[in-house]
Amino acid sequence: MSDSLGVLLVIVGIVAVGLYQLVRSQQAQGAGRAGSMKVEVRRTRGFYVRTGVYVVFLVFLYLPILVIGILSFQGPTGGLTFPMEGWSFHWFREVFDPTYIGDFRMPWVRSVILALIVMVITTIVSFLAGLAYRRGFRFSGLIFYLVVASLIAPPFLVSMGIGIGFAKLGLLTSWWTGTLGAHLTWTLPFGVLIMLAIFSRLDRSIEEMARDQGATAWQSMRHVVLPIVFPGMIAVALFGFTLSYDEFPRSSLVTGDGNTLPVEMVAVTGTAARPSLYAVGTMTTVFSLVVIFAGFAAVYIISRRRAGALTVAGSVPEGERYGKALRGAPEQPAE
Amino acid sequence: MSAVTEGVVEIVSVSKNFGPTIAIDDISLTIPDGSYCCLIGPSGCGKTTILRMIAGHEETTEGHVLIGGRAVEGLEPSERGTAMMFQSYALFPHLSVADNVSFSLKMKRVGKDERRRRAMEILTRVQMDHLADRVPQQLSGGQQQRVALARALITDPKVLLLDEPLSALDEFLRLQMREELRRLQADIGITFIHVTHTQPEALALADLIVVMDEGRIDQAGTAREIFDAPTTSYVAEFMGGWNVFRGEVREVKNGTADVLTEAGETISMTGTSVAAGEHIDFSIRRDRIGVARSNGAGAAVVNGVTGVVHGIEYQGTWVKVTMAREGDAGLLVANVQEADFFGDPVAVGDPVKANWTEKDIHILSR
Repeated sequence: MSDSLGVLLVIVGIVAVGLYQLVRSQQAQGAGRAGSMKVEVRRTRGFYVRTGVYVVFLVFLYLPILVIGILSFQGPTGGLTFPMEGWSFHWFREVFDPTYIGDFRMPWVRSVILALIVMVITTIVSFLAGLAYRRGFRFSGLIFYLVVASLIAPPFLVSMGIGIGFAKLGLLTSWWTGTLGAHLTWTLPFGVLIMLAIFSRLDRSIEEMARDQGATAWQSMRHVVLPIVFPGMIAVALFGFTLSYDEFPRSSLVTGDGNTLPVEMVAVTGTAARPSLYAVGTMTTVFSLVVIFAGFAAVYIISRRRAGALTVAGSVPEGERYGKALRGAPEQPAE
Repeated sequence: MSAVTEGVVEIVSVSKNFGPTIAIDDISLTIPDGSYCCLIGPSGCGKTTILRMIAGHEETTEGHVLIGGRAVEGLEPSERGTAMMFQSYALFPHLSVADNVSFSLKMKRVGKDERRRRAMEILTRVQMDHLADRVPQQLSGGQQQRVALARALITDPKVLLLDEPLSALDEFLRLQMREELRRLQADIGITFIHVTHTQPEALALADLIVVMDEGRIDQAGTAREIFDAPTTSYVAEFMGGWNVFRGEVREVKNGTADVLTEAGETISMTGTSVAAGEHIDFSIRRDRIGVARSNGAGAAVVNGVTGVVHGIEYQGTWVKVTMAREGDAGLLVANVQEADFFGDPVAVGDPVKANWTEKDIHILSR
């Protein structure tokens, strides 16, 4: 009984959160702002339908992860599905000290290292591509379409293509050759598109001003351009890492002898799956969340520091009043 | 070399092409040291291009630019002794105000304490020292402009180039900053070259106004010269305050010349020494025109036109009366003194006649 109860609890929890938000927002509307007109919000039927759809969507999205999370605490005698035969950390221990076949340690290490390499390459290449597109070059349009095409290409076919290509060249694919290339076909389009967007927002006159102030091309890059696009580069790095870490279809046929974590997990699923698979899933989800959180935290800290939040903040009107006081009463426009 | 002439800017037969487009067409100009010069003209006339060529952000296609007597071809912007203030200010968003201002010093590898000291010095001068640790996003438009100004001045330039510095400000601020700029220029004593498309601004600020159109200089002179004695109909129309007539002298009788204007009306004028058949452009200042009610179909007027009131705009100390000239000949604008107008206020649709004296007829060259 604890099995279905567990699942039920999760669903109830999500729905409860959804309803809570609903009620709170209604209260906020009803209370109104002090002194302003009371705004009457008529909740149409459509609103409730949409909210319902949204809740279902959240459940659909997160329920599998939560179920797996629960199941990873399966008891030592338990199987891959409910019922839960007790609760234990047995399967987590199993991951680090496997007694059955299905050793996830090396695949995890490979995935992490590969993701780091992909992250670095993607970030650097995307940055350079952003610079190149800013300047403009021949065939830039064609290359842009090729980049986007890489996103659309079916990943299994990409994997097969690379595998066949390597075979024809007489090379062995492995996680740091064929798979690296396969991952880059996935992460580079994201990175390039992001950097293109970031650079297009960078005012050209900023670089011109740097030059006006005596900066050489290198100084301008180091002191002006890089610092400004840096948060964007963190976003690209984040994409590069997580897209590579989670990647399956592209890697599936080119990992050769040593699988990456996702490939290993799928390989095990059909045959020798045990709840240790769930434990790996849970740990890897937590790991991804930590990485993403660290990335966002870095961007947040940088932008807060730049916004001067760490210095004494006054209000802008105060500064203006001070200036006006110095200059005396404002003049009337008389033209 | 005497330091007095370090800020002289000479533009010698300069042309600039962008591909097939001629942006600047053989311009020559000398801007005296320590003067406040305004380049004024409509969008696309080339005034910003000239500024950028002086600054070094564009190179000339033909001709030379000399600053302080020295040819500056090929020199980097920072080597020319100029500093530029962009229209968008181009403040570095990732740096504080003080770091923005001392950026040029950092590029020259000046030490941190020295940078801070000099930055605070110049910020005090523009009254921004209390906001030295803010970032540009936290500043208002006027404050950003003062920071941009400080950043330009810290390099100790001989010539300060301003690209429409007041365009982004609201009306109040614009007038305040205008005053401050003038005072600053008089204080520091260097040459200011200020690009604008606002006529009152140029009139208020400049020692030398250069009116440009389509890559060429139409007229250069003091504010009074430009406003009171425009040489071409373009300058008269652009600077405002004039009514311009273009036409041909039909006949001259007893010192009265009948001019058939391009608009198709005939204007009789006295006091001019022209001959029949001559082409003539002339203008009348708006505030030199008297408007009076007419009793409909009267005799033809001399030194005046008849028509119907088209529009009335109250402007406090004067009233702008727009008149539709007879025979569909276009509009005439008169700035009538407030007391004169309200003595016998006319309304839209009233038949009126507009008069001027012969000494107010200003002949234009083309």
